[in-house]
Amino acid sequence: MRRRSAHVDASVLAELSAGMISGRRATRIHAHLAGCQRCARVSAGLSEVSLLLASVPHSAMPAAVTSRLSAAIADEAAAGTPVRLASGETSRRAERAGSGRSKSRLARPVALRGFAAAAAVCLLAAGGYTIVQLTSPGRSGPGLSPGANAGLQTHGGRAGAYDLSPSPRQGTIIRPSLSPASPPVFGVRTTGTNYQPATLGAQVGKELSSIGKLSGNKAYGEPLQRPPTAQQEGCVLSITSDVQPTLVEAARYQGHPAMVIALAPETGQLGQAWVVGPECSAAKSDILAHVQLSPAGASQRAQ
Amino acid sequence: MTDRRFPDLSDAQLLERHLQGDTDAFGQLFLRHRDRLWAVAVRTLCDPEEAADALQEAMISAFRRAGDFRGDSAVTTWLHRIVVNASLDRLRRKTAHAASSVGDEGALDLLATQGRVPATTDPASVRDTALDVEAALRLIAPEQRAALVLVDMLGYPVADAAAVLDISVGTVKSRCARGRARLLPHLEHLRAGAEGKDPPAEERFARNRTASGSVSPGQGGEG
Repeated sequence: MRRRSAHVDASVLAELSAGMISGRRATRIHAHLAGCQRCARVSAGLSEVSLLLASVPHSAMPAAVTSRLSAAIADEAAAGTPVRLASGETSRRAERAGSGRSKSRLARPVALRGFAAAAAVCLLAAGGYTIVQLTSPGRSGPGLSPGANAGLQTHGGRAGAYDLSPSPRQGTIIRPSLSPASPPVFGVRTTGTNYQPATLGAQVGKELSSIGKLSGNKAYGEPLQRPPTAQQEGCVLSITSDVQPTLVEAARYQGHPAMVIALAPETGQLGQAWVVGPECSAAKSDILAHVQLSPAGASQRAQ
Repeated sequence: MTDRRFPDLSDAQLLERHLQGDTDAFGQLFLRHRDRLWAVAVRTLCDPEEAADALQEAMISAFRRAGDFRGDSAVTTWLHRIVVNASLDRLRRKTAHAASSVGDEGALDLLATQGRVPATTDPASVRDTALDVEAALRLIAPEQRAALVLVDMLGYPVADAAAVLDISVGTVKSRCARGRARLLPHLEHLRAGAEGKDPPAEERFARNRTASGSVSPGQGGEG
Protein backbone atom coordinates (compact mmCIF):
# COMPACT_ATOMS: atom_id res chain seq x y z
CA MET A 1 0.00 0.00 0.00
CA ARG A 2 1.92 2.99 1.25
CA ARG A 3 5.51 3.47 2.16
CA ARG A 4 6.79 0.11 3.19
CA SER A 5 9.98 1.58 4.50
CA ALA A 6 8.59 3.15 7.68
CA HIS A 7 8.83 0.42 10.28
CA VAL A 8 6.08 0.04 12.82
CA ASP A 9 6.92 0.55 16.45
CA ALA A 10 6.84 -2.58 18.63
CA SER A 11 4.27 -1.06 20.96
CA VAL A 12 2.00 -0.34 18.00
CA LEU A 13 2.38 -3.92 16.83
CA ALA A 14 1.57 -5.07 20.34
CA GLU A 15 -1.54 -2.92 20.35
CA LEU A 16 -2.52 -4.36 17.00
CA SER A 17 -2.32 -7.92 18.25
CA ALA A 18 -4.16 -6.95 21.42
CA GLY A 19 -7.03 -5.92 19.16
CA MET A 20 -6.74 -2.25 20.01
CA ILE A 21 -6.26 -1.04 16.48
CA SER A 22 -8.91 -1.44 13.84
CA GLY A 23 -10.14 0.00 10.60
CA ARG A 24 -7.90 1.59 8.02
CA ARG A 25 -4.99 1.92 10.39
CA ALA A 26 -5.03 -1.81 11.06
CA THR A 27 -5.29 -2.56 7.34
CA ARG A 28 -2.31 -0.33 6.69
CA ILE A 29 -0.20 -2.02 9.34
CA HIS A 30 -1.18 -5.48 8.14
CA ALA A 31 -0.16 -4.50 4.64
CA HIS A 32 3.16 -3.29 5.91
CA LEU A 33 3.68 -6.50 7.88
CA ALA A 34 3.07 -8.57 4.80
CA GLY A 35 5.99 -6.95 3.08
CA CYS A 36 8.37 -6.20 5.92
CA GLN A 37 10.32 -9.07 7.41
CA ARG A 38 11.70 -7.02 10.22
CA CYS A 39 8.31 -5.90 11.51
CA ALA A 40 6.82 -9.34 10.96
CA ARG A 41 9.58 -10.75 13.13
CA VAL A 42 8.87 -8.24 15.87
CA SER A 43 5.19 -9.06 15.66
CA ALA A 44 5.86 -12.78 15.98
CA GLY A 45 8.21 -12.05 18.84
CA LEU A 46 5.50 -10.21 20.71
CA SER A 47 3.19 -13.18 20.71
CA GLU A 48 6.07 -15.31 21.86
CA VAL A 49 6.51 -12.96 24.79
CA SER A 50 3.01 -13.88 25.93
CA LEU A 51 3.75 -17.57 25.51
CA LEU A 52 6.97 -17.17 27.41
CA LEU A 53 5.22 -15.42 30.28
CA ALA A 54 2.57 -18.13 30.35
CA SER A 55 5.23 -20.83 30.42
CA VAL A 56 6.66 -19.72 33.75
CA PRO A 57 5.37 -22.13 36.37
CA HIS A 58 3.93 -20.75 39.56
CA SER A 59 5.07 -22.14 42.82
CA ALA A 60 2.64 -22.55 45.64
CA MET A 61 2.81 -20.17 48.57
CA PRO A 62 5.80 -21.25 50.65
CA ALA A 63 4.90 -23.02 53.84
CA ALA A 64 6.59 -20.44 56.01
CA VAL A 65 4.47 -17.71 54.50
CA THR A 66 1.28 -19.73 54.82
CA SER A 67 1.99 -20.36 58.50
CA ARG A 68 2.87 -16.78 59.15
CA LEU A 69 -0.20 -15.39 57.43
CA SER A 70 -2.53 -17.96 58.95
CA ALA A 71 -1.17 -17.00 62.33
CA ALA A 72 -1.58 -13.31 61.63
CA ILE A 73 -5.17 -13.88 60.55
CA ALA A 74 -5.93 -16.07 63.56
CA ASP A 75 -4.40 -13.38 65.72
CA GLU A 76 -6.60 -10.79 64.12
CA ALA A 77 -9.63 -13.04 64.59
CA ALA A 78 -8.77 -13.46 68.25
CA ALA A 79 -8.93 -9.70 68.61
CA GLY A 80 -12.43 -9.76 67.18
CA THR A 81 -14.05 -10.17 63.78
CA PRO A 82 -15.51 -7.14 62.07
CA VAL A 83 -19.18 -6.33 62.27
CA ARG A 84 -21.14 -4.80 59.45
CA LEU A 85 -22.84 -1.62 60.56
CA ALA A 86 -25.98 -0.24 59.00
CA SER A 87 -23.88 2.37 57.24
CA GLY A 88 -21.90 -0.31 55.50
CA GLU A 89 -18.85 0.51 57.55
CA THR A 90 -17.33 -2.15 59.66
CA SER A 91 -16.23 -2.00 63.21
CA ARG A 92 -14.62 -4.58 65.34
CA ARG A 93 -16.53 -6.98 67.48
CA ALA A 94 -15.68 -6.71 71.17
CA GLU A 95 -12.34 -8.16 72.22
CA ARG A 96 -12.66 -11.77 73.02
CA ALA A 97 -11.37 -13.29 76.18
CA GLY A 98 -8.25 -15.44 75.99
CA SER A 99 -6.76 -13.60 73.07
CA GLY A 100 -4.22 -15.67 71.22
CA ARG A 101 -1.69 -12.91 70.72
CA SER A 102 1.16 -15.17 71.72
CA LYS A 103 0.62 -17.28 68.64
CA SER A 104 1.80 -14.79 66.09
CA ARG A 105 4.76 -13.83 68.20
CA LEU A 106 6.08 -17.25 67.51
CA ALA A 107 4.97 -17.53 63.97
CA ARG A 108 5.96 -14.13 62.64
CA PRO A 109 9.71 -14.03 63.00
CA VAL A 110 10.15 -16.88 60.58
CA ALA A 111 12.94 -15.67 58.37
CA LEU A 112 11.97 -15.41 54.76
CA ARG A 113 15.45 -14.77 53.53
CA GLY A 114 16.90 -17.60 51.52
CA PHE A 115 13.85 -19.22 50.05
CA ALA A 116 16.11 -21.68 48.30
CA ALA A 117 16.74 -23.37 51.60
CA ALA A 118 13.08 -23.29 52.40
CA ALA A 119 12.58 -26.92 53.32
CA ALA A 120 14.15 -26.60 56.74
CA VAL A 121 12.40 -23.32 57.37
CA CYS A 122 9.11 -24.91 56.36
CA LEU A 123 9.55 -27.68 58.87
CA LEU A 124 10.34 -25.24 61.62
CA ALA A 125 7.48 -22.99 60.75
CA ALA A 126 4.93 -25.73 60.46
CA GLY A 127 6.15 -27.35 63.63
CA GLY A 128 6.16 -24.11 65.50
CA TYR A 129 2.65 -23.32 64.45
CA THR A 130 1.36 -26.71 65.40
CA ILE A 131 2.96 -26.49 68.80
CA VAL A 132 1.35 -23.16 69.41
CA GLN A 133 -1.98 -24.61 68.44
CA LEU A 134 -1.58 -27.47 70.85
CA THR A 135 -0.33 -25.45 73.75
CA SER A 136 -2.88 -22.68 73.77
CA PRO A 137 -5.98 -24.35 75.16
CA GLY A 138 -6.84 -21.07 76.84
CA ARG A 139 -7.96 -19.78 73.47
CA SER A 140 -11.47 -21.06 73.81
CA GLY A 141 -13.01 -17.95 75.17
CA PRO A 142 -16.74 -17.53 75.58
CA GLY A 143 -17.22 -16.72 71.94
CA LEU A 144 -15.53 -19.79 70.59
CA SER A 145 -17.42 -23.00 70.26
CA PRO A 146 -15.46 -26.24 70.59
CA GLY A 147 -16.08 -26.70 66.93
CA ALA A 148 -14.42 -23.43 66.09
CA ASN A 149 -11.45 -24.43 68.13
CA ALA A 150 -11.13 -27.70 66.33
CA GLY A 151 -11.30 -25.80 63.09
CA LEU A 152 -8.37 -23.67 64.03
CA GLN A 153 -6.29 -26.68 64.82
CA THR A 154 -7.23 -28.12 61.51
CA HIS A 155 -5.69 -25.11 59.82
CA GLY A 156 -2.41 -25.73 61.53
CA GLY A 157 -2.48 -29.37 60.63
CA ARG A 158 -3.31 -28.70 57.03
CA ALA A 159 -0.62 -26.13 56.64
CA GLY A 160 1.83 -28.56 58.11
CA ALA A 161 0.80 -31.34 55.81
CA TYR A 162 1.38 -29.19 52.76
CA ASP A 163 4.53 -27.67 54.03
CA LEU A 164 6.51 -30.81 54.49
CA SER A 165 6.82 -31.48 50.80
CA PRO A 166 10.29 -30.31 49.81
CA SER A 167 9.62 -29.91 46.11
CA PRO A 168 7.13 -27.71 44.31
CA ARG A 169 3.77 -29.08 45.25
CA GLN A 170 2.39 -31.51 42.74
CA GLY A 171 -1.22 -31.52 41.79
CA THR A 172 -1.82 -28.05 43.10
CA ILE A 173 -5.51 -27.47 43.26
CA ILE A 174 -6.31 -23.85 43.02
CA ARG A 175 -9.43 -22.07 41.96
CA PRO A 176 -8.51 -21.25 38.40
CA SER A 177 -10.72 -18.34 37.60
CA LEU A 178 -11.95 -15.37 39.47
CA SER A 179 -15.56 -16.37 39.27
CA PRO A 180 -16.83 -18.61 42.02
CA ALA A 181 -17.21 -21.61 39.76
CA SER A 182 -16.96 -25.26 40.59
CA PRO A 183 -13.66 -26.35 42.07
CA PRO A 184 -10.95 -27.24 39.57
CA VAL A 185 -9.80 -30.78 39.51
CA PHE A 186 -6.43 -30.91 37.84
CA GLY A 187 -3.01 -29.35 37.60
CA VAL A 188 -1.13 -28.70 34.38
CA ARG A 189 2.23 -30.40 34.06
CA THR A 190 4.78 -28.40 32.18
CA THR A 191 7.12 -30.55 30.16
CA GLY A 192 9.10 -29.99 27.03
CA THR A 193 7.95 -33.25 25.49
CA ASN A 194 7.58 -32.89 21.76
CA TYR A 195 4.70 -35.14 20.78
CA GLN A 196 4.62 -36.46 17.24
CA PRO A 197 1.65 -37.71 15.23
CA ALA A 198 3.12 -41.16 14.64
CA THR A 199 4.03 -41.82 18.24
CA LEU A 200 1.38 -39.79 20.05
CA GLY A 201 -0.41 -42.75 21.60
CA ALA A 202 2.77 -44.40 22.77
CA GLN A 203 4.13 -41.15 24.16
CA VAL A 204 0.96 -40.42 26.08
CA GLY A 205 0.82 -44.01 27.29
CA LYS A 206 4.33 -43.69 28.63
CA GLU A 207 3.46 -40.41 30.30
CA LEU A 208 0.38 -41.95 31.91
CA SER A 209 2.31 -44.90 33.23
CA SER A 210 4.91 -42.56 34.70
CA ILE A 211 2.10 -40.80 36.56
CA GLY A 212 1.01 -44.16 37.92
CA LYS A 213 4.47 -44.74 39.26
CA LEU A 214 4.86 -41.36 40.84
CA SER A 215 6.66 -41.75 44.07
CA GLY A 216 7.24 -38.09 44.55
CA ASN A 217 10.83 -38.32 45.63
CA LYS A 218 12.69 -37.64 42.44
CA ALA A 219 14.01 -34.17 43.00
CA TYR A 220 13.98 -32.89 39.47
CA GLY A 221 12.49 -35.80 37.62
CA GLU A 222 8.95 -34.61 38.10
CA PRO A 223 7.61 -32.07 35.68
CA LEU A 224 6.61 -28.79 37.21
CA GLN A 225 2.93 -28.43 37.69
CA ARG A 226 0.75 -25.36 37.82
CA PRO A 227 -2.90 -24.65 38.20
CA PRO A 228 -4.80 -24.36 34.96
CA THR A 229 -5.60 -20.94 33.65
CA ALA A 230 -9.26 -20.17 33.25
CA GLN A 231 -8.89 -20.74 29.54
CA GLN A 232 -7.15 -24.07 30.03
CA GLU A 233 -9.73 -25.23 32.50
CA GLY A 234 -12.54 -24.32 30.16
CA CYS A 235 -10.77 -26.06 27.31
CA VAL A 236 -10.03 -29.25 29.24
CA LEU A 237 -13.43 -29.62 30.81
CA SER A 238 -15.22 -29.00 27.54
CA ILE A 239 -13.06 -31.57 25.80
CA THR A 240 -13.44 -34.24 28.46
CA SER A 241 -17.10 -33.31 29.02
CA ASP A 242 -16.35 -32.39 32.61
CA VAL A 243 -14.62 -35.65 33.35
CA GLN A 244 -11.52 -35.21 35.46
CA PRO A 245 -8.51 -35.71 33.20
CA THR A 246 -5.75 -38.09 34.21
CA LEU A 247 -3.14 -35.94 32.56
CA VAL A 248 -2.97 -32.36 31.41
CA GLU A 249 0.37 -31.41 30.05
CA ALA A 250 1.64 -28.19 28.54
CA ALA A 251 4.02 -29.56 25.95
CA ARG A 252 4.67 -29.36 22.22
CA TYR A 253 3.20 -31.06 19.23
CA GLN A 254 5.39 -31.21 16.16
CA GLY A 255 7.48 -28.50 17.72
CA HIS A 256 4.62 -26.13 18.43
CA PRO A 257 3.16 -25.25 21.81
CA ALA A 258 0.26 -27.52 22.56
CA MET A 259 -1.56 -29.06 25.44
CA VAL A 260 -2.09 -32.78 25.86
CA ILE A 261 -5.20 -33.94 27.68
CA ALA A 262 -5.63 -37.60 28.52
CA LEU A 263 -8.12 -39.86 30.19
CA ALA A 264 -6.45 -43.10 31.23
CA PRO A 265 -7.97 -46.31 29.93
CA GLU A 266 -10.09 -48.18 32.42
CA THR A 267 -11.30 -51.73 32.46
CA GLY A 268 -13.56 -52.19 29.52
CA GLN A 269 -13.01 -48.68 28.31
CA LEU A 270 -10.42 -47.21 26.02
CA GLY A 271 -8.52 -44.17 27.16
CA GLN A 272 -8.53 -40.95 25.18
CA ALA A 273 -5.87 -38.42 24.43
CA TRP A 274 -6.28 -35.09 22.73
CA VAL A 275 -3.73 -32.58 21.57
CA VAL A 276 -5.05 -29.04 21.51
CA GLY A 277 -3.55 -25.80 20.33
CA PRO A 278 -3.09 -22.60 22.34
CA GLU A 279 -6.44 -21.27 21.18
CA CYS A 280 -8.35 -24.00 22.96
CA SER A 281 -10.95 -22.68 25.38
CA ALA A 282 -14.40 -23.52 26.64
CA ALA A 283 -15.80 -21.94 23.50
CA LYS A 284 -13.35 -23.32 20.97
CA SER A 285 -11.84 -26.77 21.05
CA ASP A 286 -8.83 -26.24 18.73
CA ILE A 287 -8.11 -29.97 18.61
CA LEU A 288 -4.95 -30.82 16.68
CA ALA A 289 -5.05 -34.57 17.14
CA HIS A 290 -6.92 -37.29 18.97
CA VAL A 291 -6.05 -40.89 19.73
CA GLN A 292 -7.61 -43.67 21.71
CA LEU A 293 -5.51 -45.51 24.20
CA SER A 294 -5.76 -49.20 24.91
CA PRO A 295 -4.97 -50.39 28.44
CA ALA A 296 -1.54 -51.67 27.42
CA GLY A 297 -0.55 -48.20 26.40
CA ALA A 298 -0.61 -49.06 22.72
CA SER A 299 -2.73 -46.70 20.75
CA GLN A 300 -5.03 -46.67 17.85
CA ARG A 301 -5.05 -43.57 15.78
CA ALA A 302 -8.36 -41.96 15.40
CA GLN A 303 -7.97 -41.53 11.70
CA MET B 1 -10.40 -27.79 48.10
CA THR B 2 -10.48 -29.85 51.18
CA ASP B 3 -11.97 -27.31 53.52
CA ARG B 4 -12.84 -29.50 56.44
CA ARG B 5 -15.19 -27.24 58.25
CA PHE B 6 -16.61 -25.36 55.31
CA PRO B 7 -16.62 -27.83 52.49
CA ASP B 8 -19.73 -26.57 50.78
CA LEU B 9 -19.59 -22.89 51.45
CA SER B 10 -18.95 -20.49 48.60
CA ASP B 11 -16.46 -17.70 49.05
CA ALA B 12 -19.27 -15.22 49.56
CA GLN B 13 -20.84 -17.43 52.22
CA LEU B 14 -17.49 -17.76 53.97
CA LEU B 15 -17.14 -14.01 53.99
CA GLU B 16 -20.64 -13.69 55.41
CA ARG B 17 -19.74 -16.17 58.16
CA HIS B 18 -16.72 -14.02 58.87
CA LEU B 19 -18.94 -10.99 59.26
CA GLN B 20 -21.21 -12.98 61.53
CA GLY B 21 -18.28 -13.53 63.86
CA ASP B 22 -16.99 -16.93 62.79
CA THR B 23 -13.33 -16.66 63.67
CA ASP B 24 -12.23 -19.39 61.26
CA ALA B 25 -14.01 -18.28 58.15
CA PHE B 26 -11.55 -15.70 56.90
CA GLY B 27 -8.55 -17.93 57.53
CA GLN B 28 -10.23 -20.55 55.41
CA LEU B 29 -10.87 -18.06 52.64
CA PHE B 30 -7.21 -17.19 52.72
CA LEU B 31 -6.17 -20.85 52.58
CA ARG B 32 -8.43 -21.44 49.60
CA HIS B 33 -6.86 -18.74 47.51
CA ARG B 34 -3.42 -18.36 48.93
CA ASP B 35 -1.50 -19.81 46.02
CA ARG B 36 -3.03 -17.53 43.42
CA LEU B 37 -2.71 -14.50 45.67
CA TRP B 38 0.88 -15.45 46.31
CA ALA B 39 1.57 -15.73 42.60
CA VAL B 40 0.13 -12.26 42.02
CA ALA B 41 2.12 -10.66 44.83
CA VAL B 42 5.42 -12.37 44.15
CA ARG B 43 5.28 -11.67 40.40
CA THR B 44 4.24 -8.07 40.87
CA LEU B 45 6.82 -7.34 43.54
CA CYS B 46 9.57 -9.61 42.18
CA ASP B 47 10.61 -10.38 45.73
CA PRO B 48 9.27 -13.11 48.02
CA GLU B 49 9.92 -11.24 51.24
CA GLU B 50 8.18 -8.15 50.00
CA ALA B 51 5.38 -10.30 48.66
CA ALA B 52 4.88 -11.96 52.03
CA ASP B 53 4.72 -8.58 53.75
CA ALA B 54 2.35 -7.17 51.16
CA LEU B 55 0.11 -10.21 51.44
CA GLN B 56 -0.03 -9.98 55.19
CA GLU B 57 -0.94 -6.32 54.95
CA ALA B 58 -3.55 -7.13 52.33
CA MET B 59 -5.09 -10.02 54.24
CA ILE B 60 -5.39 -8.05 57.46
CA SER B 61 -6.88 -5.17 55.54
CA ALA B 62 -9.36 -7.48 53.80
CA PHE B 63 -10.17 -9.08 57.14
CA ARG B 64 -11.06 -5.72 58.62
CA ARG B 65 -12.80 -4.31 55.58
CA ALA B 66 -14.85 -7.38 54.78
CA GLY B 67 -17.98 -5.35 55.38
CA ASP B 68 -17.05 -3.16 52.42
CA PHE B 69 -17.42 -6.09 50.08
CA ARG B 70 -20.58 -5.38 48.17
CA GLY B 71 -20.97 -8.53 46.18
CA ASP B 72 -20.78 -6.70 42.87
CA SER B 73 -17.72 -8.77 41.98
CA ALA B 74 -16.47 -12.18 42.95
CA VAL B 75 -14.86 -12.42 46.37
CA THR B 76 -11.68 -13.53 44.65
CA THR B 77 -11.68 -10.42 42.48
CA TRP B 78 -11.97 -8.33 45.59
CA LEU B 79 -9.15 -10.23 47.31
CA HIS B 80 -6.95 -9.97 44.24
CA ARG B 81 -7.60 -6.23 44.06
CA ILE B 82 -6.53 -5.73 47.67
CA VAL B 83 -3.38 -7.77 47.09
CA VAL B 84 -2.46 -5.96 43.87
CA ASN B 85 -3.03 -2.59 45.51
CA ALA B 86 -0.95 -3.54 48.53
CA SER B 87 1.82 -4.72 46.21
CA LEU B 88 1.79 -1.59 44.06
CA ASP B 89 1.65 0.65 47.15
CA ARG B 90 4.67 -1.12 48.49
CA LEU B 91 6.55 -0.58 45.24
CA ARG B 92 5.65 3.11 45.22
CA ARG B 93 6.82 3.52 48.79
CA LYS B 94 10.04 1.73 47.95
CA THR B 95 10.80 3.84 44.88
CA ALA B 96 10.03 6.93 46.87
CA HIS B 97 12.62 5.81 49.37
CA ALA B 98 15.49 4.63 47.22
CA ALA B 99 15.71 7.33 44.61
CA SER B 100 15.82 4.77 41.85
CA SER B 101 16.89 1.68 40.22
CA VAL B 102 19.54 -0.37 41.88
CA GLY B 103 17.15 -3.20 41.27
CA ASP B 104 17.10 -2.56 37.55
CA GLU B 105 20.84 -2.81 37.28
CA GLY B 106 20.85 -5.94 39.34
CA ALA B 107 18.31 -7.38 37.00
CA LEU B 108 20.32 -6.35 33.97
CA ASP B 109 23.41 -7.96 35.45
CA LEU B 110 21.43 -11.08 36.03
CA LEU B 111 20.22 -11.02 32.45
CA ALA B 112 23.75 -10.56 31.22
CA THR B 113 25.18 -13.40 33.26
CA GLN B 114 22.34 -15.76 32.56
CA GLY B 115 23.14 -15.90 28.91
CA ARG B 116 20.97 -17.91 26.65
CA VAL B 117 18.91 -20.74 27.93
CA PRO B 118 19.94 -23.97 26.25
CA ALA B 119 17.14 -25.32 24.16
CA THR B 120 16.80 -28.50 26.14
CA THR B 121 13.56 -29.34 27.71
CA ASP B 122 14.37 -30.60 31.17
CA PRO B 123 12.77 -28.93 34.17
CA ALA B 124 16.05 -27.18 34.99
CA SER B 125 15.81 -25.18 31.80
CA VAL B 126 12.21 -24.34 32.57
CA ARG B 127 13.54 -22.85 35.78
CA ASP B 128 16.22 -20.91 33.93
CA THR B 129 13.62 -19.50 31.59
CA ALA B 130 11.59 -18.54 34.61
CA LEU B 131 14.58 -16.70 36.07
CA ASP B 132 15.14 -14.80 32.86
CA VAL B 133 11.51 -13.86 32.59
CA GLU B 134 11.45 -12.73 36.20
CA ALA B 135 14.54 -10.61 35.69
CA ALA B 136 13.05 -9.01 32.59
CA LEU B 137 9.78 -8.32 34.39
CA ARG B 138 11.64 -6.17 36.88
CA LEU B 139 12.53 -3.82 34.09
CA ILE B 140 9.05 -2.74 33.17
CA ALA B 141 6.69 -0.35 34.91
CA PRO B 142 4.87 -1.92 37.87
CA GLU B 143 1.45 -1.14 36.41
CA GLN B 144 2.34 -2.87 33.16
CA ARG B 145 3.80 -5.74 35.10
CA ALA B 146 0.68 -6.15 37.22
CA ALA B 147 -1.46 -6.30 34.08
CA LEU B 148 0.83 -8.83 32.40
CA VAL B 149 0.97 -10.96 35.54
CA LEU B 150 -2.80 -11.26 35.59
CA VAL B 151 -3.39 -11.65 31.86
CA ASP B 152 -0.36 -13.43 30.42
CA MET B 153 1.10 -15.23 33.41
CA LEU B 154 -2.02 -16.22 35.30
CA GLY B 155 -4.26 -16.37 32.28
CA TYR B 156 -7.14 -14.32 33.61
CA PRO B 157 -9.54 -12.93 31.05
CA VAL B 158 -8.88 -9.26 30.33
CA ALA B 159 -12.25 -8.36 31.83
CA ASP B 160 -11.32 -10.06 35.11
CA ALA B 161 -7.98 -8.31 35.15
CA ALA B 162 -9.75 -5.01 34.55
CA ALA B 163 -12.03 -5.68 37.52
CA VAL B 164 -9.05 -6.54 39.73
CA LEU B 165 -7.05 -3.51 38.65
CA ASP B 166 -10.12 -1.29 38.69
CA ILE B 167 -9.36 0.10 35.25
CA SER B 168 -11.04 -0.25 31.88
CA VAL B 169 -10.57 -3.23 29.61
CA GLY B 170 -8.90 -0.93 27.10
CA THR B 171 -6.40 0.24 29.67
CA VAL B 172 -5.56 -3.35 30.59
CA LYS B 173 -4.99 -4.17 26.94
CA SER B 174 -2.85 -1.14 26.44
CA ARG B 175 -0.74 -1.83 29.53
CA CYS B 176 -0.25 -5.41 28.43
CA ALA B 177 0.65 -4.35 24.90
CA ARG B 178 3.20 -1.80 26.06
CA GLY B 179 4.57 -4.22 28.62
CA ARG B 180 5.09 -6.92 25.99
CA ALA B 181 6.81 -4.44 23.71
CA ARG B 182 9.13 -3.43 26.56
CA LEU B 183 9.87 -7.04 27.44
CA LEU B 184 10.61 -8.13 23.90
CA PRO B 185 14.22 -6.93 23.69
CA HIS B 186 15.01 -8.51 27.05
CA LEU B 187 13.54 -11.86 26.13
CA GLU B 188 14.80 -11.97 22.56
CA HIS B 189 17.48 -14.45 23.49
CA LEU B 190 14.87 -16.99 24.60
CA ARG B 191 13.09 -16.89 21.30
CA ALA B 192 13.42 -19.51 18.65
CA GLY B 193 13.73 -17.15 15.74
CA ALA B 194 16.13 -14.74 17.39
CA GLU B 195 18.46 -13.45 14.69
CA GLY B 196 19.90 -16.85 13.90
CA LYS B 197 21.25 -17.27 17.39
CA ASP B 198 19.44 -20.52 17.94
CA PRO B 199 19.54 -23.43 15.58
CA PRO B 200 16.09 -23.48 14.05
CA ALA B 201 15.66 -27.13 14.87
CA GLU B 202 15.70 -26.40 18.54
CA GLU B 203 12.57 -24.38 18.76
CA ARG B 204 11.48 -23.65 22.25
CA PHE B 205 8.58 -21.58 21.20
CA ALA B 206 7.03 -22.07 17.87
CA ARG B 207 6.88 -19.14 15.55
CA ASN B 208 3.36 -19.70 14.58
CA ARG B 209 1.07 -22.59 14.17
CA THR B 210 0.41 -22.41 10.47
CA ALA B 211 3.04 -25.03 9.79
CA SER B 212 1.21 -27.60 11.86
CA GLY B 213 0.06 -29.90 9.12
CA SER B 214 -1.93 -32.52 10.88
CA VAL B 215 -4.74 -30.49 12.27
CA SER B 216 -7.69 -32.78 12.58
CA PRO B 217 -10.35 -30.87 14.43
CA GLY B 218 -13.01 -32.84 16.13
CA GLN B 219 -11.71 -36.24 15.12
CA GLY B 220 -13.40 -38.47 17.59
CA GLY B 221 -13.52 -41.76 15.73
CA GLU B 222 -13.05 -45.15 17.21
CA GLY B 223 -9.83 -46.20 15.58
